Amino acid sequence: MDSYLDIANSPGMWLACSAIIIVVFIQAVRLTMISFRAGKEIGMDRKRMMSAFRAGFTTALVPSIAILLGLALLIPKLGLPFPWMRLSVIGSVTYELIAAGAAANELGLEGLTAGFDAVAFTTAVWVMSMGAIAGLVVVAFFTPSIKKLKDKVAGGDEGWMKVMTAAAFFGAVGYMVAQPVAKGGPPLAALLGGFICMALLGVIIQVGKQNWLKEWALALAIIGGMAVAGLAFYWFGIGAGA
Amino acid sequence: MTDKTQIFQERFLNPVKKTGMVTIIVAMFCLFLPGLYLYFFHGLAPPVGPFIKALIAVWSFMIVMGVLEPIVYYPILGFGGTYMSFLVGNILNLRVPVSATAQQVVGTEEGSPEAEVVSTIGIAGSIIASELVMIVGILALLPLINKISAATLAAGDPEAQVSMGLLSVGIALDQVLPALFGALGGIFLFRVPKLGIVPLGLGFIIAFLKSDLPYSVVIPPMVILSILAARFMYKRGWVKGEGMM
Repeated sequence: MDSYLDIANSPGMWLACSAIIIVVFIQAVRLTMISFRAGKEIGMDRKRMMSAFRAGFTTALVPSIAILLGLALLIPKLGLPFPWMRLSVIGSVTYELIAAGAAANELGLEGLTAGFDAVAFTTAVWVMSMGAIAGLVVVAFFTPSIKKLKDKVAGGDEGWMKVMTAAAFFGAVGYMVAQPVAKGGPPLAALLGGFICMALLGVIIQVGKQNWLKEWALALAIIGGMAVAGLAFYWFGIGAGA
Repeated sequence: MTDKTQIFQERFLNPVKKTGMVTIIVAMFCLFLPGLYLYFFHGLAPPVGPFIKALIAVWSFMIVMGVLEPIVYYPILGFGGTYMSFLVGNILNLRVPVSATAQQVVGTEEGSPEAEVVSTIGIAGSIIASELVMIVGILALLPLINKISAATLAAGDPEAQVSMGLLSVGIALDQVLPALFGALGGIFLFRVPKLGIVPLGLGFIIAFLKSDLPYSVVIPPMVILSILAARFMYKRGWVKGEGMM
């Protein structure tokens, strides 16, 4: 079958996506070596440093499997290698989906739907890649002077910075949350499904004290929302003829 | 003590800065390889107008977050941890707890050189774990990818005679974004309902007036209004930084 997904899953795409992951490994290994050496010189016990590495390694295992679940959500429309790269580097499922959705939206598509083609895929690739570059520039060039930067930005008020970060994000998605309600049909079913699943998971996490669920909640709620849209069509024909 | 500070500067801070900066600059170049590959090997390029508009929409919130997040998380992640965490992502759900756990397990004093070393090592360990899990997962998914592609295409093809079940799957796959927004709406309401009032309220008003606006038109002013509203609430003490992120 000829489609853009053949390109999205082509060997060349795999190669192009792997390069940055090698950089991530090199960075992590080099910084570990520097830390071990420096730690020894300031009189730290090797065993304690090893236990820090083990703690990091084991703490990350299960949440990383949760990321894999998010990755699965991107594969149908974006192929395998690119979502792998995106979620191995910088990415979060939320950001990637919103960036891909913004690309589709400006091309006049209804989100990541059946009309998603080679041009939409390419646009999404570029938007996802360039959209998150600001954080990298800041970290690459300003990490050594980040304490000074803090005083210049937002008057050094950390509480306000946290509120502002959240407000910027909410401002971005406010319209996107409302849109499916105005549209109705399968988008509304998915929205309600996602909302209800997240609410249920929130209750389970808080009341049931199941903190481990936190990392899984978003991906599970999205899958729940999608399932509700699928079932609404299967059982009630919502979205038929659309 | 000054001796230790000096060793720490020379043997830790300086080399970490060099490695951190170089690797991130190289990584920024690597970020564009998939796009360049599509262009040079398949002649695919994004149409300029929609691309720039989509970028404006995304940048209007990502630049704010990109500047603020490193500042906010730096005290927890530390020097080396900041370089690594912002390259790899999943900061709040993964790197922050990892750094805290590593420092707790080893029992270091907050902000000390020892804590810096421990945080860096712990985060490096978490990154290696994450990348390995992803690679194993990808290898497991690899044999299925042709089937996934074929099913996605068949489900999305109006001409194809497909079963009701597959059609339902196609509908479900198309709704990944609304499902995400529903979930985010849930997070809003439970975690920070006050901050959500203005952006959600405005979003609903605009969506019911016109439900198919380009994001580049809606998002930038919404981000600004949302921040202004948050500022108003913060000054009056209605919202606090704690529990926000």
